[in-house]
Amino acid sequence: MMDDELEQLLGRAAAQARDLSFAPLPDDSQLDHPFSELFEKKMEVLCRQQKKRRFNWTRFSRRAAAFAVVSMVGLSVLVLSVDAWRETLFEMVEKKHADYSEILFESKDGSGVLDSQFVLTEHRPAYLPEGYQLTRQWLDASSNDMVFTTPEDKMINFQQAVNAKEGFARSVGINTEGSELVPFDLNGYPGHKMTNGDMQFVLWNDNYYNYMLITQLSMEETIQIAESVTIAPESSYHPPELAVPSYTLQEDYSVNQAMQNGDVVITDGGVQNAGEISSLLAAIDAEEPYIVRITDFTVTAEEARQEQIESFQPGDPVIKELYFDGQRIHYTLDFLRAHSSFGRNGAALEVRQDADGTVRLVLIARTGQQVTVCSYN
Amino acid sequence: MLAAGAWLGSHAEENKFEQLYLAYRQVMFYAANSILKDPAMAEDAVHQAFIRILNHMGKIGEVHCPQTRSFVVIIVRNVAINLYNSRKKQLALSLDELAEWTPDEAASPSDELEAKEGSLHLAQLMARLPDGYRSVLLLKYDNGYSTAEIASMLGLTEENVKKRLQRARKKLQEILEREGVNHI
Repeated sequence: MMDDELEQLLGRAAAQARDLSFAPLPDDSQLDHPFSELFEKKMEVLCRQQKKRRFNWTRFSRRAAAFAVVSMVGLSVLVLSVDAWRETLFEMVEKKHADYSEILFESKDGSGVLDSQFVLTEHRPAYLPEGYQLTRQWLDASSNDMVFTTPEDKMINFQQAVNAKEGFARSVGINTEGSELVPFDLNGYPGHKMTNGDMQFVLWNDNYYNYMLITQLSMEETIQIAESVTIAPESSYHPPELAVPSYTLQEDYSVNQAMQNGDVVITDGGVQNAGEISSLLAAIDAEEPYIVRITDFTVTAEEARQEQIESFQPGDPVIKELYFDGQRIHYTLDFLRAHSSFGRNGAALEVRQDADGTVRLVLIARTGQQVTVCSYN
Repeated sequence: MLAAGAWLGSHAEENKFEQLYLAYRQVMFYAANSILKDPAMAEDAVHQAFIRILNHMGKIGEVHCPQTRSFVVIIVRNVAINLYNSRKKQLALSLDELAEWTPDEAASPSDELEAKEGSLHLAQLMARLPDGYRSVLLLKYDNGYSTAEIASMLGLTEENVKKRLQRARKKLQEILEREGVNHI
């Protein structure tokens, strides 16, 4: 038998081999393993973190996707023994897996965790190369995740998290394929650095927090940025946020809830809070960051099908978030009930009026491509 | 109103990930636990498998299709075998495993005549190959991934994947020729 004959035969046989291989596995409907609370928490955080991140990474292309992977692999929850907090040194522990490393920060005597009421004090780099602006930030009582970008789409990601807090601790997953973390001293604290492709990674920790810096700069400059990290001044700039983040919205998000949250609400009866759109347009003109959420209840099944959304019913809420970061406009669509979301970005936003009086909000990409964000009478 | 066609990149992958999780976590646990016989380790394997799957979301098509089910099971079995072997402190795949394998270990075909007919017989042989060889064959010929992609998915070097493919093909070819199987 010739090699190419075998290749063809293998191609024909593969689907049958797959069916034969996995036929003994029962149908999912026959399985009902009660997953542990720890597993559920770890997966919930993985899913939530990924969903949360979608508002950030949309405008970054393939290169930046590697950043997203790093961060999506990121936070997971580990239940630790609860103990009174006491100051102790933490150390970085690297657990090597096949294609990534899991980084944990563990107290050296195994008992040190922060009290559940501990609130993170925001840190940030005091030094950044010219042209970088803070365009995204997620800040809560346990973690701080900042993204700095340039108009040319270069990016710096700085992450800070408590080492361990009552009930959970953070671990970080980073792609260490073909590379390895090298220990070094950073301002007297234990640090690790790694170059992977054109990206630089620097990780370090003190007694309260662990930090990670990812850049596409030189390692020398990345370390310079890391060394400059300090407590954020009170007057520090923070990007605008919605009072109720979109990733927390439930499938049954209603008109009343949307109104209460200050969304622009579009129903068959017209538009409410349309002034927010005017405020966004004014902010874009003034090159000031601004964020608006439009909740649209008028999307049709046909329009949903065009977006390859199945299981959509007319009247379902569709979340449309528009965020101007001072450089460009991020547009995120979220079909809540279909559990599908899309990210796009644009350079300009225009309000147009059709002959029949319909008002359309149009997002325009750098390439000139256009998409209607919403329309109303 | 929405306009058709996404530009500047769709991010449906995020929700596809959740759909994958809801659709396959049970069967993935079952597959992992059948290797590890340890529910806690099997859950760990499922979690690790999902982290690995995250790296390859862009290569996954439909969520609910046999190829995707096969893909996630292959990944979780690979993770589980690695966990099992690390527990046993053994090599992930013995080089002798394929040499020792004979078609006698394959299923007895229910219909001997039909089984002798080309692809079905080959499919039965493939289905009974040692896991490490069967996985790379399926990922290549059923899912259509490149050797580099398979290497990344299974935590192997490209060279290792090529060797496994080469050895599996050679073994299958020898058996088919010895048995004079009609492969037309």
